[in-house]
Amino acid sequence: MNKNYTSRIGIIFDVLVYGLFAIILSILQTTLIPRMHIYDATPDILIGAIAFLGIYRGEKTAALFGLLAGLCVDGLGSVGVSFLPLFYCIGGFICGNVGKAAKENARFAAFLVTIPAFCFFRTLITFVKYLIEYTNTLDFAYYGLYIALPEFVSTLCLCIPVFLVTLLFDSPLQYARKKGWLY
Amino acid sequence: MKNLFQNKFMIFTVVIAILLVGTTSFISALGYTSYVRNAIGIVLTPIQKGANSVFDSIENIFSSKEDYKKLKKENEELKLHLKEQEDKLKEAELALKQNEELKNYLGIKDEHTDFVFTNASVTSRSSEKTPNIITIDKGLSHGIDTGMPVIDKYGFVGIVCETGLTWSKVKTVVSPDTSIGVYIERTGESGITSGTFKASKDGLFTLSYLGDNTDVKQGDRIFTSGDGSNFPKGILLGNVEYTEKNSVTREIIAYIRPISPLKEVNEVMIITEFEMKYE
Repeated sequence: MNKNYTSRIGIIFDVLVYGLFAIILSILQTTLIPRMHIYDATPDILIGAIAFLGIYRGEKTAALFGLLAGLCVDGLGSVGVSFLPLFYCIGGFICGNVGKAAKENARFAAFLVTIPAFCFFRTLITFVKYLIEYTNTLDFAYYGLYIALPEFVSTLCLCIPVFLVTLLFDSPLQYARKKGWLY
Repeated sequence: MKNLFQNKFMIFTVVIAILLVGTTSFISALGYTSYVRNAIGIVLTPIQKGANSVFDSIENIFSSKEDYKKLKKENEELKLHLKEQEDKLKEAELALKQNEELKNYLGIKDEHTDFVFTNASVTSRSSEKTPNIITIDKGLSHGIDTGMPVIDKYGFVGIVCETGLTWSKVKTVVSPDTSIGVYIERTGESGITSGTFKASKDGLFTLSYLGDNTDVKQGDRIFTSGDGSNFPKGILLGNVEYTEKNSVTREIIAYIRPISPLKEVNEVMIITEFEMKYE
C-alpha cells in the first residue's frame, strides 16, 4: 500500500479516535462530574486529557482535541458566553510546546509540572464566569475557600486517573503506530 | 507565545476557536442559539440523556445499598417475619408516595385547565451545587420556545432560555439571571425574585422589592403573580426560609427555598400555552 495513503488513513483514524474520546469525556463532564461535589466546586476532567495529549502526542492533537471538547461541553451544558473552547485549545497548544521542550523520558515530570498551572488557569476561568454571573453579590472569601480551592485541588487530583484513562485509550493507537499498520 | 504566532496551523486553529466562541456568545447574548451549539446539542443530547439515566441508576443502586446496610444493621436481631412485614410496609409507602405525586401532578393540571403542557426529561444539570441551568430533551421541533415557564410536579422550576431543534436549556429559579414577578400567598404583597451568590450557596433565591412595612414570615408560600404576561399566575415557587434586612439599603429581603428539588428533578413539564387572566 502506498505510504501517503496509509498515513492519510492514520490521520483519519486519529481524528476519529480522539474525537470519540473528546465526546465521551465531554458527556462525562456534563453528566457524571456535576454529581461529584467537593464543597461547592466541580472538578474538570478534560484538563488531564488535554495535558496528556499535548505533552505526549503534540500540540496539534491537543489543540484540536481541546477545541472539540470545549465545543461539546459548551454545547451540552452552558448558556451565554463561554471561553472553554478557546481556553482548552490554547492550553493544549502550550502543553504541546512543554512536551516538545521536555526530553522523551522526562515527559511525565513535564506533565506533573504543567498540570498545576493548567488547573490554576481553569480555576481562573471559573472565577471570571462567577464574576460575570454574580457581579454585585459575589462573596470573595467564601468563593476562594469553598469553590476556587476545592475546584483547583479536585481537578489536580483527578488529573492522574484521567492521565491513566487517556493512556489506556491512546495505547491501541500507539501500538498501531509502532507496528506501522495505519501510519 | 512566540511559537503561537509562528505556527500557521495554530494561528488557524486559534482564529477558528475565537470565531466559534465569539459568534456563539454573541448570538447567545442576542437570545438566539448558534448553529454550532444547536448541531452539538442535536447529536449529543440523546447520548447525554442515556448517560444521565445510567448514572441515575447507578446512584440509585448505591443509595439503595446504603439504606439496605443501615436497615440490616438496625434490624439484625429481628425475625424474618418482621422483616417481611417491614418490606411490605415499605412497598405500600412507596405506592402511597407515588400516588401522592401523581395526585400533585394531576392537581396542577386540574387547577389550570388552560395550560397546555409538553413533558420533557432532564438530560443534564450545570455544575453548581444547586444547578443554575438544566438541559431538557425537547426543543423547537416540539414547540418549545425561549421564555416558556417550566414546572415539575411540585411547582416552578425555571424558564427556557435557549432552544435547539431537539433540546432546550432552562434557567432555574436560583440562577442570577432569573427574575420573576411573584406574590406572597398570605399577605398578597408583590415582589421580584432573583438569584444571588449568598442565596445560591444554600440552594435558595431571594425575594426583593417588598414594601418597607412588609409582613413576610418564615414558611410563607410564594406564587407567580403573572405580571408582565410572561408567566401564568398562581404557580408555586417556594417557601420563605428566612428574612434579612440589607444593612445599606434597609430593604427587607426574603430567602426562598425552591419548591422543586432542582438537584434531583428528572421529569418536567413546559407550559407552551396558557390563558392570561386579568383582574
